[in-house]
Amino acid sequence: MSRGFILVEMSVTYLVLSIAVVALVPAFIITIRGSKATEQIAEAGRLSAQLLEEIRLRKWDQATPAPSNYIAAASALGADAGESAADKRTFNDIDDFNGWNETGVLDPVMRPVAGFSAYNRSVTVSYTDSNFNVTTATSDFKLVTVCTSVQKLKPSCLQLILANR
Amino acid sequence: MTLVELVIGIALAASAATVCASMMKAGLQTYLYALRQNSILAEGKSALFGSGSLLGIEASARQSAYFVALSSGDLNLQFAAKPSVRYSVAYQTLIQTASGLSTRQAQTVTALNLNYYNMDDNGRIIESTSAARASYMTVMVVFGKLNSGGRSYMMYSGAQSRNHP
Repeated sequence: MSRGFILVEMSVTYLVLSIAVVALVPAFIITIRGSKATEQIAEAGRLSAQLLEEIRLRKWDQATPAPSNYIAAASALGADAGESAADKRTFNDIDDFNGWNETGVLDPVMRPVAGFSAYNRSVTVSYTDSNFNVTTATSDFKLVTVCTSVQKLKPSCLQLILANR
Repeated sequence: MTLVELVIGIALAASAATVCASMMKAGLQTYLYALRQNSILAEGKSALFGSGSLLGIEASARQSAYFVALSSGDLNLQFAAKPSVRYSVAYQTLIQTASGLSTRQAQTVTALNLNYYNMDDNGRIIESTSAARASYMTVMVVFGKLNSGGRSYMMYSGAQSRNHP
């Protein structure tokens, strides 16, 4: 009787121990997911910065002369005549990127960058007033916002204000 | 009966020990995964932005005046008022060479993949065919696997040669 009781006790103890140990599995999964998310957020920030740098290579406005100089009247936002909103190789000023979306990362000449198919990048360009508040009227300041999203993580967005020059 | 109890007890103990060992292994692997990612993020930061007074690829390219060559595997930068700098990979190490002095920039880097671009006469971006005209570069920094079961990491970035005439 006494020996049987010891076996039952031992069995229950092992069972409880096993359940407790197995219950730790989600903690490991969460840790790995957290590490993966950290990596993806860092990469998303870099990808946003890369596209922002690519955008600022362009002149400030369609009407901006070369070499660049101040212009009295800025044009409407978005791709201009002769440019394709789906092909950034045709863009020659920064606001052409307004509404730009790319699924997977594309290099400056539209070639997919291997290893980044899970990332999506989007761009909005808007005018701001002298206090840097977004405005619908044309002004001397354009606010460029680049966001990179990956899976269910919050998008990593970077903003840059470029002045009429 | 005693023998049966003993056998059952040993079997239970063995199974519990196996579960515990598996969980310890999973914990260790989780820790190593997080450690590797932290290391990669730190090395990536050093490779692209720099560490201490040692400028990384992206930071250095921004300060440059020219890309000396359109090399896809290493980066040669010419500056307006300081010696040229070269970034190259050897023995899984990113090396910065300036004035004949080589310094370790980042570890576990297995490759650099560079592309160069410039704006054409219409203000549109094209891939460069001449180093003298190139004003923008993109770089993929590839970090190698630590072991056969590991994975490689890639970081994609870009920088404009701000002092390009």
